[in-house]
Amino acid sequence: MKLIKGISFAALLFMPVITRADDSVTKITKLPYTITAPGNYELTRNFTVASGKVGITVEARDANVVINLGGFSITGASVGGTAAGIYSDQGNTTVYNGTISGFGMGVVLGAQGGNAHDLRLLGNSWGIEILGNDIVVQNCSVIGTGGASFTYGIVISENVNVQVTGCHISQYVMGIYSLDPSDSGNTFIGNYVASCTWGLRMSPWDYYQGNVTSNCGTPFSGGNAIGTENGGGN
Amino acid sequence: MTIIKPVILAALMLTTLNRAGAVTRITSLPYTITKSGNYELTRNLTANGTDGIDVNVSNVVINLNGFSITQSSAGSGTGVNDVSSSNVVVSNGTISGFADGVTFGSYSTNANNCKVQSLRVLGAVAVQIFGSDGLVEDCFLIGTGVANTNGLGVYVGGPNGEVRNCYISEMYTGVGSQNTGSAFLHNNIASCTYGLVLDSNDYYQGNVATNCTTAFSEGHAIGTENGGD
Repeated sequence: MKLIKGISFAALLFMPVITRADDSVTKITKLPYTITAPGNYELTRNFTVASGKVGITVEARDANVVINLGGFSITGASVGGTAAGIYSDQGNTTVYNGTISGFGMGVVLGAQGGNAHDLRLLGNSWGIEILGNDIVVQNCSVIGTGGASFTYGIVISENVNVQVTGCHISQYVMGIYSLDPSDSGNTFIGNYVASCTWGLRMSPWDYYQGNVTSNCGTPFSGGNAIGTENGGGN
Repeated sequence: MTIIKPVILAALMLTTLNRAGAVTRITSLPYTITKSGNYELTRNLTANGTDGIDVNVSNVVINLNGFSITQSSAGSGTGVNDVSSSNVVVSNGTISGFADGVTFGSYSTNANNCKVQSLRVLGAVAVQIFGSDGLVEDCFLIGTGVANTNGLGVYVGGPNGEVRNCYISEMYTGVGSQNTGSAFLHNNIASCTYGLVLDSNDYYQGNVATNCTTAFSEGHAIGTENGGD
Protein backbone atom coordinates (compact mmCIF):
# COMPACT_ATOMS: atom_id res chain seq x y z
CA MET A 1 0.00 0.00 0.00
CA LYS A 2 2.81 2.33 0.90
CA LEU A 3 4.54 1.58 -2.40
CA ILE A 4 1.33 2.23 -4.34
CA LYS A 5 0.96 5.56 -2.59
CA GLY A 6 4.49 6.50 -3.59
CA ILE A 7 3.95 5.64 -7.24
CA SER A 8 0.63 7.47 -7.26
CA PHE A 9 2.33 10.55 -5.82
CA ALA A 10 4.94 10.53 -8.56
CA ALA A 11 2.33 9.85 -11.21
CA LEU A 12 0.19 12.74 -10.06
CA LEU A 13 3.16 15.06 -10.11
CA PHE A 14 4.59 14.21 -13.49
CA MET A 15 2.52 11.96 -15.70
CA PRO A 16 -0.22 14.45 -16.64
CA VAL A 17 2.41 16.88 -17.90
CA ILE A 18 4.15 14.22 -19.93
CA THR A 19 0.89 12.99 -21.38
CA ARG A 20 -0.28 16.43 -22.39
CA ALA A 21 3.01 17.24 -24.08
CA ASP A 22 2.81 14.09 -26.16
CA ASP A 23 -0.87 14.30 -27.07
CA SER A 24 -0.57 15.01 -30.78
CA VAL A 25 3.12 15.06 -31.58
CA THR A 26 5.31 12.06 -32.23
CA LYS A 27 8.81 12.60 -30.92
CA ILE A 28 11.64 11.51 -33.14
CA THR A 29 14.24 10.05 -30.82
CA LYS A 30 16.60 8.40 -33.28
CA LEU A 31 17.80 8.79 -36.86
CA PRO A 32 17.51 7.41 -39.51
CA TYR A 33 13.73 7.57 -39.07
CA THR A 34 10.93 6.68 -41.47
CA ILE A 35 7.50 8.30 -41.21
CA THR A 36 4.77 6.02 -42.43
CA ALA A 37 1.67 7.71 -41.02
CA PRO A 38 0.30 11.26 -41.34
CA GLY A 39 0.69 13.53 -38.33
CA ASN A 40 2.96 15.91 -36.46
CA TYR A 41 6.51 14.98 -35.64
CA GLU A 42 9.30 16.77 -33.79
CA LEU A 43 12.95 16.36 -32.98
CA THR A 44 13.95 16.12 -29.35
CA ARG A 45 17.66 16.80 -29.69
CA ASN A 46 20.46 17.28 -32.24
CA PHE A 47 21.27 14.24 -34.37
CA THR A 48 24.22 13.09 -36.46
CA VAL A 49 23.59 10.75 -39.38
CA ALA A 50 26.15 8.31 -40.81
CA SER A 51 27.49 8.80 -44.32
CA GLY A 52 25.13 7.68 -47.07
CA LYS A 53 22.06 7.55 -44.80
CA VAL A 54 18.92 9.67 -45.11
CA GLY A 55 18.01 11.43 -41.89
CA ILE A 56 14.20 11.33 -42.11
CA THR A 57 12.24 9.62 -44.89
CA VAL A 58 8.56 10.37 -45.38
CA GLU A 59 6.63 7.47 -46.86
CA ALA A 60 3.15 8.23 -45.55
CA ARG A 61 0.87 8.24 -48.58
CA ASP A 62 -0.38 11.77 -49.41
CA ALA A 63 1.64 12.61 -46.39
CA ASN A 64 0.02 15.47 -44.47
CA VAL A 65 3.13 15.26 -42.37
CA VAL A 66 4.53 18.18 -40.36
CA ILE A 67 8.10 17.90 -39.11
CA ASN A 68 9.16 20.47 -36.51
CA LEU A 69 12.90 20.35 -36.00
CA GLY A 70 12.35 22.15 -32.73
CA GLY A 71 15.36 24.40 -33.18
CA PHE A 72 17.59 21.34 -33.30
CA SER A 73 19.96 20.16 -36.02
CA ILE A 74 20.46 17.15 -38.25
CA THR A 75 24.09 16.79 -39.30
CA GLY A 76 25.24 14.41 -42.00
CA ALA A 77 28.51 13.25 -43.48
CA SER A 78 27.31 12.96 -47.08
CA VAL A 79 28.26 16.19 -48.83
CA GLY A 80 28.67 15.37 -52.51
CA GLY A 81 26.63 12.19 -52.19
CA THR A 82 22.95 11.57 -52.82
CA ALA A 83 21.66 11.16 -49.29
CA ALA A 84 19.21 13.74 -47.98
CA GLY A 85 18.66 15.22 -44.56
CA ILE A 86 14.90 14.96 -45.05
CA TYR A 87 13.41 13.15 -48.04
CA SER A 88 9.73 13.05 -48.91
CA ASP A 89 8.23 11.67 -52.10
CA GLN A 90 4.72 12.25 -50.77
CA GLY A 91 2.61 15.39 -50.94
CA ASN A 92 1.79 17.93 -48.25
CA THR A 93 4.98 17.59 -46.26
CA THR A 94 6.02 20.53 -44.09
CA VAL A 95 9.50 20.91 -42.60
CA TYR A 96 10.44 23.84 -40.38
CA ASN A 97 12.40 25.35 -37.51
CA GLY A 98 15.89 23.91 -37.42
CA THR A 99 19.24 23.26 -39.08
CA ILE A 100 20.26 20.61 -41.61
CA SER A 101 23.88 20.37 -42.68
CA GLY A 102 26.36 18.09 -44.37
CA PHE A 103 24.14 16.19 -46.83
CA GLY A 104 23.98 15.76 -50.59
CA MET A 105 20.54 17.37 -50.40
CA GLY A 106 19.32 19.19 -47.32
CA VAL A 107 15.58 18.78 -47.96
CA VAL A 108 13.82 17.04 -50.84
CA LEU A 109 10.11 17.72 -51.30
CA GLY A 110 9.05 15.30 -53.97
CA ALA A 111 5.30 15.72 -54.45
CA GLN A 112 2.60 18.34 -54.59
CA GLY A 113 1.85 20.77 -51.81
CA GLY A 114 4.75 20.98 -49.41
CA ASN A 115 6.32 23.74 -47.36
CA ALA A 116 9.83 24.35 -46.04
CA HIS A 117 10.24 27.37 -43.81
CA ASP A 118 12.47 28.86 -41.15
CA LEU A 119 15.28 26.43 -41.88
CA ARG A 120 19.06 26.85 -41.84
CA LEU A 121 20.61 24.65 -44.52
CA LEU A 122 24.38 24.82 -44.18
CA GLY A 123 27.01 23.12 -46.28
CA ASN A 124 24.75 20.78 -48.25
CA SER A 125 25.63 20.15 -51.91
CA TRP A 126 22.04 21.01 -52.80
CA GLY A 127 20.13 23.00 -50.22
CA ILE A 128 16.52 22.27 -51.18
CA GLU A 129 15.34 20.15 -54.10
CA ILE A 130 11.72 20.53 -55.19
CA LEU A 131 10.11 17.83 -57.28
CA GLY A 132 6.44 18.73 -56.90
CA ASN A 133 3.97 21.47 -57.77
CA ASP A 134 2.47 24.06 -55.42
CA ILE A 135 5.30 24.13 -52.88
CA VAL A 136 6.37 27.16 -50.80
CA VAL A 137 9.87 27.78 -49.44
CA GLN A 138 10.14 30.75 -47.12
CA ASN A 139 12.48 32.38 -44.62
CA CYS A 140 15.29 29.90 -45.11
CA SER A 141 19.06 30.46 -44.98
CA VAL A 142 20.68 28.25 -47.59
CA ILE A 143 24.46 28.54 -47.46
CA GLY A 144 26.75 26.29 -49.47
CA THR A 145 30.45 25.73 -49.58
CA GLY A 146 31.47 27.61 -52.71
CA GLY A 147 32.26 26.85 -56.25
CA ALA A 148 32.04 23.11 -56.92
CA SER A 149 30.20 22.06 -60.08
CA PHE A 150 26.46 21.56 -60.01
CA THR A 151 25.75 22.81 -56.54
CA TYR A 152 22.35 24.37 -56.09
CA GLY A 153 20.87 26.47 -53.33
CA ILE A 154 17.28 25.79 -54.34
CA VAL A 155 16.58 23.65 -57.40
CA ILE A 156 13.14 23.25 -58.90
CA SER A 157 12.74 20.41 -61.35
CA GLU A 158 9.87 20.42 -63.83
CA ASN A 159 7.29 21.97 -61.55
CA VAL A 160 4.69 24.70 -61.54
CA ASN A 161 3.45 27.19 -58.98
CA VAL A 162 6.42 26.94 -56.65
CA GLN A 163 7.16 30.05 -54.56
CA VAL A 164 10.46 30.94 -52.91
CA THR A 165 10.27 33.98 -50.67
CA GLY A 166 12.39 35.72 -48.05
CA CYS A 167 15.37 33.38 -48.34
CA HIS A 168 19.10 34.07 -47.96
CA ILE A 169 21.06 31.95 -50.41
CA SER A 170 24.80 32.06 -50.94
CA GLN A 171 27.93 30.24 -52.02
CA TYR A 172 26.46 27.96 -54.69
CA VAL A 173 27.02 27.65 -58.42
CA MET A 174 23.26 28.10 -58.87
CA GLY A 175 21.51 30.17 -56.23
CA ILE A 176 17.97 29.49 -57.42
CA TYR A 177 17.57 27.20 -60.43
CA SER A 178 14.30 26.70 -62.25
CA LEU A 179 15.23 25.98 -65.82
CA ASP A 180 13.90 22.53 -66.62
CA PRO A 181 11.61 22.50 -69.68
CA SER A 182 8.44 21.96 -67.66
CA ASP A 183 9.10 24.66 -65.05
CA SER A 184 6.34 27.21 -65.33
CA GLY A 185 4.73 29.94 -63.30
CA ASN A 186 7.09 29.72 -60.37
CA THR A 187 7.65 32.92 -58.36
CA PHE A 188 10.67 34.24 -56.53
CA ILE A 189 9.97 37.13 -54.18
CA GLY A 190 12.14 39.09 -51.77
CA ASN A 191 15.15 36.81 -51.68
CA TYR A 192 18.79 37.75 -51.20
CA VAL A 193 21.24 35.72 -53.31
CA ALA A 194 24.98 36.25 -52.86
CA SER A 195 28.28 34.83 -54.05
CA CYS A 196 26.77 32.45 -56.60
CA THR A 197 27.92 31.93 -60.16
CA TRP A 198 24.29 32.26 -61.23
CA GLY A 199 21.96 34.14 -58.89
CA LEU A 200 18.45 33.35 -60.14
CA ARG A 201 18.40 31.17 -63.25
CA MET A 202 14.78 30.86 -64.27
CA SER A 203 12.54 29.51 -67.00
CA PRO A 204 10.88 31.92 -69.44
CA TRP A 205 7.57 31.36 -67.64
CA ASP A 206 8.71 32.26 -64.13
CA TYR A 207 8.28 35.63 -62.34
CA TYR A 208 10.42 37.46 -59.82
CA GLN A 209 10.03 40.56 -57.68
CA GLY A 210 12.09 42.34 -55.02
CA ASN A 211 15.13 40.07 -55.16
CA VAL A 212 18.60 41.41 -54.39
CA THR A 213 21.90 39.87 -55.43
CA SER A 214 25.53 40.59 -54.71
CA ASN A 215 28.78 39.00 -55.80
CA CYS A 216 26.98 36.87 -58.41
CA GLY A 217 28.51 36.24 -61.85
CA THR A 218 25.11 36.39 -63.56
CA PRO A 219 22.58 37.89 -61.14
CA PHE A 220 19.40 37.16 -63.13
CA SER A 221 18.75 34.94 -66.11
CA GLY A 222 15.39 34.21 -67.73
CA GLY A 223 12.12 34.82 -65.96
CA ASN A 224 9.98 37.95 -65.99
CA ALA A 225 10.84 40.81 -63.65
CA ILE A 226 7.91 42.46 -61.90
CA GLY A 227 8.38 46.09 -60.86
CA THR A 228 11.64 47.87 -60.25
CA GLU A 229 12.72 46.20 -57.02
CA ASN A 230 14.93 43.47 -58.43
CA GLY A 231 18.59 44.31 -58.63
CA GLY A 232 22.14 43.84 -57.52
CA GLY A 233 25.28 42.83 -59.21
CA ASN A 234 28.50 41.01 -59.43
CA MET B 1 11.24 5.08 3.45
CA THR B 2 7.78 5.61 2.02
CA ILE B 3 8.70 9.24 1.36
CA ILE B 4 12.14 8.49 -0.02
CA LYS B 5 10.88 6.09 -2.70
CA PRO B 6 8.68 8.54 -4.56
CA VAL B 7 11.29 11.26 -4.28
CA ILE B 8 13.90 9.00 -5.84
CA LEU B 9 11.44 7.97 -8.53
CA ALA B 10 10.60 11.58 -9.25
CA ALA B 11 14.27 12.50 -9.41
CA LEU B 12 14.92 9.70 -11.89
CA MET B 13 12.05 10.89 -14.04
CA LEU B 14 13.32 14.46 -14.01
CA THR B 15 16.79 13.34 -15.03
CA THR B 16 15.28 11.44 -17.95
CA LEU B 17 13.22 14.44 -18.99
CA ASN B 18 16.26 16.71 -19.02
CA ARG B 19 18.19 14.27 -21.18
CA ALA B 20 15.32 13.92 -23.61
CA GLY B 21 14.99 17.70 -23.86
CA ALA B 22 18.63 18.05 -24.87
CA VAL B 23 18.55 21.79 -24.28
CA THR B 24 21.03 23.14 -21.78
CA ARG B 25 19.59 25.73 -19.46
CA ILE B 26 21.62 28.83 -18.72
CA THR B 27 20.86 29.71 -15.13
CA SER B 28 23.48 32.32 -14.26
CA LEU B 29 25.90 34.81 -15.81
CA PRO B 30 28.66 34.94 -16.88
CA TYR B 31 28.24 31.70 -18.81
CA THR B 32 30.72 30.17 -21.24
CA ILE B 33 29.60 27.75 -23.95
CA THR B 34 32.26 25.19 -24.85
CA LYS B 35 30.08 22.44 -26.31
CA SER B 36 27.99 22.62 -29.49
CA GLY B 37 24.25 22.38 -28.93
CA ASN B 38 21.09 24.19 -27.93
CA TYR B 39 20.86 26.53 -24.96
CA GLU B 40 18.03 28.48 -23.41
CA LEU B 41 17.22 30.92 -20.66
CA THR B 42 14.50 30.08 -18.18
CA ARG B 43 14.40 33.46 -16.44
CA ASN B 44 15.87 36.95 -16.65
CA LEU B 45 19.58 37.06 -15.84
CA THR B 46 21.99 39.84 -14.85
CA ALA B 47 25.72 40.22 -15.44
CA ASN B 48 27.77 42.28 -13.05
CA GLY B 49 30.52 43.93 -15.08
CA THR B 50 31.31 40.83 -17.16
CA ASP B 51 30.19 39.48 -20.51
CA GLY B 52 26.83 37.78 -20.41
CA ILE B 53 27.43 34.65 -22.52
CA ASP B 54 30.73 33.77 -24.19
CA VAL B 55 30.59 31.32 -27.09
CA ASN B 56 33.80 29.37 -27.64
CA VAL B 57 32.56 26.65 -30.01
CA SER B 58 30.69 26.50 -33.34
CA ASN B 59 27.18 25.16 -33.98
CA VAL B 60 25.37 26.77 -31.08
CA VAL B 61 21.75 27.91 -30.80
CA ILE B 62 20.87 30.26 -27.94
CA ASN B 63 17.17 30.84 -27.35
CA LEU B 64 16.57 33.61 -24.84
CA ASN B 65 13.01 32.34 -24.61
CA GLY B 66 11.55 35.82 -24.22
CA PHE B 67 13.77 36.59 -21.23
CA SER B 68 16.44 39.25 -20.84
CA ILE B 69 20.16 39.53 -20.23
CA THR B 70 20.93 42.76 -18.41
CA GLN B 71 24.21 44.42 -17.48
CA SER B 72 24.17 45.95 -14.00
CA SER B 73 27.41 47.85 -14.60
CA ALA B 74 26.15 49.98 -17.45
CA GLY B 75 28.32 50.14 -20.55
CA SER B 76 30.63 47.23 -19.81
CA GLY B 77 31.04 43.76 -21.27
CA THR B 78 29.28 42.11 -24.20
CA GLY B 79 25.88 40.48 -23.96
CA VAL B 80 26.74 37.54 -26.21
CA ASN B 81 30.35 37.39 -27.30
CA ASP B 82 31.47 34.94 -29.99
CA VAL B 83 35.07 35.67 -30.91
CA SER B 84 35.55 33.20 -33.74
CA SER B 85 32.91 30.44 -33.77
CA SER B 86 30.64 29.85 -36.78
CA ASN B 87 27.01 28.77 -37.11
CA VAL B 88 25.84 30.53 -33.97
CA VAL B 89 22.24 31.71 -33.56
CA VAL B 90 20.93 34.09 -30.88
CA SER B 91 17.19 34.71 -30.80
CA ASN B 92 14.05 35.68 -29.02
CA GLY B 93 14.78 38.00 -26.10
CA THR B 94 16.26 41.23 -24.78
CA ILE B 95 19.87 42.26 -24.19
CA SER B 96 20.40 45.57 -22.44
CA GLY B 97 23.00 47.78 -20.81
CA PHE B 98 26.17 46.22 -22.22
CA ALA B 99 28.92 48.05 -24.08
CA ASP B 100 28.15 45.68 -26.97
CA GLY B 101 24.99 43.65 -27.40
CA VAL B 102 25.97 40.76 -29.65
CA THR B 103 29.36 40.37 -31.33
CA PHE B 104 30.25 37.65 -33.83
CA GLY B 105 33.96 37.55 -34.68
CA SER B 106 36.50 40.30 -34.30
CA TYR B 107 38.64 42.51 -36.49
CA SER B 108 41.16 39.65 -36.74
CA THR B 109 38.90 36.55 -36.64
CA ASN B 110 35.82 35.56 -38.64
CA ALA B 111 32.63 34.00 -37.34
CA ASN B 112 30.66 32.80 -40.36
CA ASN B 113 26.98 31.92 -40.88
CA CYS B 114 25.88 33.56 -37.64
CA LYS B 115 22.44 34.96 -37.03
CA VAL B 116 20.45 37.12 -34.65
CA GLN B 117 16.70 37.00 -34.89
CA SER B 118 13.87 38.61 -32.97
CA LEU B 119 16.09 40.37 -30.46
CA ARG B 120 15.62 43.61 -28.58
CA VAL B 121 19.03 45.13 -27.95
CA LEU B 122 19.14 48.27 -25.85
CA GLY B 123 22.53 49.98 -25.62
CA ALA B 124 25.14 51.93 -27.50
CA VAL B 125 26.40 49.16 -29.82
CA ALA B 126 23.86 46.50 -30.70
CA VAL B 127 25.07 43.87 -33.20
CA GLN B 128 28.48 43.43 -34.86
CA ILE B 129 29.29 40.72 -37.39
CA PHE B 130 32.79 39.92 -38.59
CA GLY B 131 32.44 37.00 -40.99
CA SER B 132 30.47 35.91 -44.04
CA ASP B 133 26.74 35.29 -44.34
CA GLY B 134 25.75 37.02 -41.14
CA LEU B 135 22.02 37.60 -40.84
CA VAL B 136 20.15 40.09 -38.66
CA GLU B 137 16.40 39.98 -38.94
CA ASP B 138 13.30 41.14 -37.13
CA CYS B 139 15.30 43.00 -34.46
CA PHE B 140 14.58 46.13 -32.43
CA LEU B 141 17.81 48.01 -31.71
CA ILE B 142 17.70 51.17 -29.62
CA GLY B 143 20.80 53.18 -28.76
CA THR B 144 21.63 55.87 -26.25
CA GLY B 145 21.35 58.89 -28.52
CA VAL B 146 23.40 60.51 -31.24
CA ALA B 147 25.70 62.29 -28.81
CA ASN B 148 27.50 59.00 -28.31
CA THR B 149 29.58 58.81 -31.47
CA ASN B 150 30.38 55.16 -30.81
CA GLY B 151 26.70 54.31 -31.16
CA LEU B 152 26.13 51.66 -33.83
CA GLY B 153 23.02 49.63 -34.58
CA VAL B 154 24.43 46.95 -36.85
CA TYR B 155 27.93 46.58 -38.22
CA VAL B 156 28.54 44.11 -41.05
CA GLY B 157 32.21 43.40 -41.64
CA GLY B 158 32.07 40.36 -43.91
CA PRO B 159 30.63 39.37 -47.30
CA ASN B 160 27.07 38.22 -48.01
CA GLY B 161 25.63 39.76 -44.87
CA GLU B 162 21.97 40.60 -44.66
CA VAL B 163 20.03 42.97 -42.40
CA ARG B 164 16.29 42.59 -42.84
CA ASN B 165 13.15 43.96 -41.22
CA CYS B 166 14.86 45.74 -38.33
CA TYR B 167 13.93 48.91 -36.44
CA ILE B 168 17.01 50.89 -35.43
CA SER B 169 17.08 54.24 -33.66
CA GLU B 170 18.97 56.62 -31.36
CA MET B 171 22.34 55.55 -32.75
CA TYR B 172 25.14 57.69 -34.16
CA THR B 173 25.28 55.20 -37.07
CA GLY B 174 22.24 53.06 -37.73
CA VAL B 175 23.85 50.52 -40.04
CA GLY B 176 27.52 50.38 -41.02
CA SER B 177 29.15 48.04 -43.51
CA GLN B 178 32.67 47.61 -44.85
CA ASN B 179 34.39 45.38 -47.40
CA THR B 180 31.37 43.27 -48.05
CA GLY B 181 28.80 42.97 -50.78
CA SER B 182 25.82 42.68 -48.48
CA ALA B 183 22.14 43.55 -48.56
CA PHE B 184 20.01 45.79 -46.36
CA LEU B 185 16.34 45.19 -46.89
CA HIS B 186 13.20 46.78 -45.52
CA ASN B 187 14.60 48.34 -42.37
CA ASN B 188 13.31 51.42 -40.54
CA ILE B 189 16.06 53.66 -39.22
CA ALA B 190 15.21 56.66 -37.10
CA SER B 191 16.96 59.47 -35.23
CA CYS B 192 20.50 58.53 -36.19
CA THR B 193 23.22 60.89 -37.39
CA TYR B 194 23.94 58.41 -40.19
CA GLY B 195 21.24 56.02 -41.34
CA LEU B 196 22.93 53.49 -43.59
CA VAL B 197 26.67 53.92 -44.18
CA LEU B 198 27.43 51.19 -46.65
CA ASP B 199 30.26 49.74 -48.67
CA SER B 200 30.43 50.51 -52.37
CA ASN B 201 29.63 46.84 -53.09
CA ASP B 202 26.47 46.76 -50.96
CA TYR B 203 22.84 46.93 -52.03
CA TYR B 204 19.81 48.29 -50.25
CA GLN B 205 16.13 48.04 -50.93
CA GLY B 206 12.95 49.24 -49.28
CA ASN B 207 14.56 51.04 -46.32
CA VAL B 208 12.96 54.04 -44.67
CA ALA B 209 14.99 56.57 -42.68
CA THR B 210 13.47 59.34 -40.56
CA ASN B 211 15.13 62.10 -38.57
CA CYS B 212 18.57 61.06 -39.78
CA THR B 213 21.09 63.76 -40.68
CA THR B 214 22.51 61.64 -43.51
CA ALA B 215 20.02 58.98 -44.44
CA PHE B 216 22.03 56.93 -46.96
CA SER B 217 25.72 56.83 -47.81
CA GLU B 218 27.27 54.73 -50.59
CA GLY B 219 25.93 51.34 -51.59
CA HIS B 220 23.57 50.82 -54.50
CA ALA B 221 19.89 51.59 -54.11
CA ILE B 222 17.59 49.07 -55.74
CA GLY B 223 14.22 50.26 -56.94
CA THR B 224 12.33 53.28 -55.76
CA GLU B 225 11.30 52.19 -52.30
CA ASN B 226 14.24 53.59 -50.29
CA GLY B 227 13.66 56.99 -48.79
CA GLY B 228 13.43 59.34 -45.85
CA ASP B 229 15.41 62.23 -44.52
